[in-house]
This record gives sequence, structure tokens and C-alpha cells, in this order.
Amino acid sequence: MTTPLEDLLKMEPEEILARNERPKADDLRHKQQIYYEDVAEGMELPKYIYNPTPTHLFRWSAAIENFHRIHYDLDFGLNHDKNPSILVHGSWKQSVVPQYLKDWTLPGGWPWKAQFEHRAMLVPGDILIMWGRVTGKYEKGQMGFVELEIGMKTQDGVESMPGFATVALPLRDGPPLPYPFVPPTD
Amino acid sequence: MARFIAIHNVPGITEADFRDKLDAVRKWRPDRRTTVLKVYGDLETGRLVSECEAVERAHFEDWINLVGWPAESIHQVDMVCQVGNFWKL
Repeated sequence: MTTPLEDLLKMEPEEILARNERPKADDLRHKQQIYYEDVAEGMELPKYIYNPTPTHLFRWSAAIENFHRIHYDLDFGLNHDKNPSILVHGSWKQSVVPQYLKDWTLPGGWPWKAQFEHRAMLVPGDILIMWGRVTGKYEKGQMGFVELEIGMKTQDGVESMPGFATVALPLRDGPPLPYPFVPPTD
Repeated sequence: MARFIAIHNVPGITEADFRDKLDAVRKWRPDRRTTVLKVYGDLETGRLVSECEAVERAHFEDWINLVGWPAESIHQVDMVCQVGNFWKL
């Protein structure tokens, strides 16, 4: 049972960090499938909690070869761009979304589509909560589709990445989803 | 955003007081419009200098009230030289 987002946002930073539900690799290897029938409107997905540090930002800059100084050069960020600190990369936030949806739907489900906006400047020291909530579901072509509202909130409740996603889950008594996933046509 | 510094006089301040006021994230960045960048402390004399990035001076003053270190003066910073780099703010 995940901690409701509303409750998390009332907690002290240390308590929020202790509620991280991000699975380890081994948990994912042995994860039980969530079936379409297990999902109900209003249900919240597990919360992934992040607490990015300058080291994380530097590593991401190097990994994706984005060397814009606002992400690792504090003097430049503060004095040139007048930012409050070095900034968390939008591309890193963007990378969390497919991981989050993939983790929730595997081993037999698929993330289908997601859309979101980048809002708010996130800085080291912020606590970030990746969250999702079921807003609807429907069956089509012997597959289950789940519509989600998703986002990444800061510890003080600012929504930095409001968005929506649709994932496909297998039906409990249905066939496996196709591999690779092919969405149904109308 | 604008840069401000304040000069505080806090006689009797201890290292524990200093740490306690500044330790938590919520205090170094009390809200999303105010970022306390650095605080220099001379604990022997109780003189402190704090540096803040804020949308406006009133936001910095809110933080000063929050920590309870009276400011003798507050200044808006126009120019910085840091390890040989000049920044005109």
C-alpha cells in the first residue's frame, strides 16, 4: 500500500525520504504482474523519491553530454543566469517517466504513451516525488488500458511536471500482450 | 532574481545555534522565491554576513525574521568578483 501523496506532502523531509518505494533491480526481476482487474480509478502508484545532489547532476550532464553550465557550474548559474542554484535537468526528469511506468507495468505490461510539461526550477536539496494516479481504464482488443495522471512534486507541493500517461496491462484471463507492443487500431 | 547581503550582529551565538538555524533545507531555502546562498560567521564577535538570491528584498527579510538574526544593514549586490571572475548582476 503506497503512502498517499497528500500525506507525503505533510511530512518532514526525512520522513518523505524514508517512504521511497523505488524498487531495487532484484525486486523488479521477481515482480508480480499487476493485471487490469487489479486497478481501480483513484488508485495511486508507488512513490519514487529523489533527492538530487550536485554529483547526480554532474553525472547526468556527463552521461548525456549536455555541458550547459547551468547544470554544474554554481557561479555561472547564480551570477550569469540568476538561477537559485544549479538546475536539475529536464531530460533527467523526462527519463524518470518511462522508467516509472515500465516498473509499474512489467513484466507483461507496457507503457504506451505519456505527455508532460516541465515547470518549476528544481535544485539540489529539493526532494522530488514521482507520483501517478489512475484516472480511467478501458478494455480493447483483449488488452487492458489504464489512464494515469502523473507528475513530480517537490517536498513543498510544487508540481514540476504535470502530465498524463496511458499504459497497457494484461487481462487476468486474457492472452499476453504482444511483444513488441502494438497499440490497437480503431 | 536579485542578490542581497545582510550584516548581522548576534552576540553570544554558538556553533550549535549557527548550525541549528541553517541545517535544514527548509531554512536554507525557506520557500521557492528565496535561496540563502552563504552565511559567513565570526562566532567570537557574533558578526555574520548572509547572502541571498531572492525575487525581492522583502523575501530576504522574511528569512531574516525566520532565523531571528537582526540585520544591521541589508544591501543589494550589483557586482561580484569571485576567484578572478567578474559578474555584473
